[in-house]
Amino acid sequence: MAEYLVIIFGSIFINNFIVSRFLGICPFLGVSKQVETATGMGLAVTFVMGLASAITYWVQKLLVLLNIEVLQTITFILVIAVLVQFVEMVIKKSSPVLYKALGIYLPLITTNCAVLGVTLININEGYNFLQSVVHGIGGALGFTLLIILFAGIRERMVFAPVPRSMEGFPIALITAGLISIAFLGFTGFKLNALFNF
Amino acid sequence: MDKQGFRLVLVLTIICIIAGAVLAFVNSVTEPKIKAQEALAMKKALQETLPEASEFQPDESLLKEAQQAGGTDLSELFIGFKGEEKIGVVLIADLRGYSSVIRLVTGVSRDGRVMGVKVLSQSETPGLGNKISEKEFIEQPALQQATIEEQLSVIKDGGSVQAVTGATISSRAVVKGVNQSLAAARLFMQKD
Amino acid sequence: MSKWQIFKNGVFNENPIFRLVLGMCSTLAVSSAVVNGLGMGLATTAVLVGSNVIISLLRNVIPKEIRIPAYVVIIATFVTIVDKLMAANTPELHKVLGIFIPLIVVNCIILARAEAFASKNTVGRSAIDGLGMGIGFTLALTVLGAIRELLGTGTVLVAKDFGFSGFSIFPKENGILLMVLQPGAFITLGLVLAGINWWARKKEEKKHG
Repeated sequence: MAEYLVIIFGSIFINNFIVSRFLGICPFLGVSKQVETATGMGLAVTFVMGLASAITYWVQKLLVLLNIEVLQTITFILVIAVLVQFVEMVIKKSSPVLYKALGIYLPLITTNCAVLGVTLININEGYNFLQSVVHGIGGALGFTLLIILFAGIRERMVFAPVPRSMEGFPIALITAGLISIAFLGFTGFKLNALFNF
Repeated sequence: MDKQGFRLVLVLTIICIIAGAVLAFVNSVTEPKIKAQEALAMKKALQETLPEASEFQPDESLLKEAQQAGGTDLSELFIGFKGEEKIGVVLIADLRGYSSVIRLVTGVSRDGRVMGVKVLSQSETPGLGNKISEKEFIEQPALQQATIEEQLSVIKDGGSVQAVTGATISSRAVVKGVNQSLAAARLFMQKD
Repeated sequence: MSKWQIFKNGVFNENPIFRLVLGMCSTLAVSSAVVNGLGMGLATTAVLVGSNVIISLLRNVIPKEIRIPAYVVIIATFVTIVDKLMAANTPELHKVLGIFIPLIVVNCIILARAEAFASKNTVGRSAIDGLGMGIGFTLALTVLGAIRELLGTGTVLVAKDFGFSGFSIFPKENGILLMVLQPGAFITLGLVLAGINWWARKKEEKKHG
């Protein structure tokens, strides 16, 4: 149990996907203008990242078995693309309400580098099946936390007098930098000691 | 399936087959080179940490023994020869650092002195943990001139190794690797 | 548009990082040093030119319905080739860039150029477009890398693969550590973008008097 808690908290706070690993920056800057849409995007990403981690774990096993690891990048990105399509279809049929909430974000997820990124990190870290899934979900929760936080700040920033040259991306990036400094504070947290009660 | 659908599948399949063939070819060209690069880097590290040896041979059984005796992070063990004579042992340890795996090489001579310690690879935090590769840390006498009678630790833990400022975790990992290597070298010396 | 204009467009007017603000993940992650930025930029350029040429060649063969998966396969193939070549020839750089090399696949610039340019233009023009965009990307990454490496460590152009230890401008004890850490990436890019906006506005105002 403790090791999974370490992975989850580690991927949310210490190695946060956005401010520490730099994965998923495009939707972070693009979508997170309102708390509501940010939450929708976060949920959709969490779902896909958990599932992608689970599937690519077995895909990698197959690639190693057939000795064609050179095809890793191609197969992973195709798996993710198919997965996103599939999830979109299932949600559309089973829950129109959920589809209305998440639908527009789903196609964007294929090119969200956090998804391909998490599957590659899982392989590099040598995670087993459960660790991979937990890491996928933890990473996505960290992503979600950040885009909601950021959307909250940006909703207020609309009313702030920003110098004209700083409007849009520049001020958003500097705000992200300040959040990133705050997250540096988690560096050096001894999660192992915390959870080995 | 109608004709149009068939055409779509056919085109996509052909593209995938060509892509697979191209990559198989690229892989067959680069794979030996990548292996050679790794072997070269390894050879260079072995030579630097045990300069007097002219040849190195892996010893699996001694490695297993060292791992069972507590050297859980050790991943490879080479015995250094000068002609026929065994003159020392080189250990490679893979240690969990702060944000990456640190690959450490330690060479110990047959009379129980460290001949060299080197970080082979790591990707710790730039500006903090990654300073363990710099000579101010890794070439300090407490590490480079240790002997197998010693049990090293960083100053914060009551030892003599000067840790990198702000990177105690990375520094401790290196010290742990050296300690495990020294323990393995003790085994090697008891053997012959 | 002449070929020179296509090239210039990619490098300046529509610079992928400074003007279009695309490909942010790799930009922020690898701009900690000049060599990292340069290596990433050249790797991306190679993929851009390669995928643009092949996609332009096949633009009348690939049916519209499956163009996106087809493009992704073509791009991923080039990415894997670049990945393997770097692992074989520049192992240190390959290690530093890590997962950001395979992640070139999801760099929006490449798919965007395939969709917006290569699928509608001749092979020659597509190659030049890829080259221009790639060089624009490389240039921006190098500038960001130079700022961060200099302010953070006091040294520029450290290149381990080529055994070059860089130019030391000031002692590294005086470096601003924050610049090479993650926040430095966001803040540097934010300030540089603001500077470019300011400059572009000044130019615009001058033109309109």
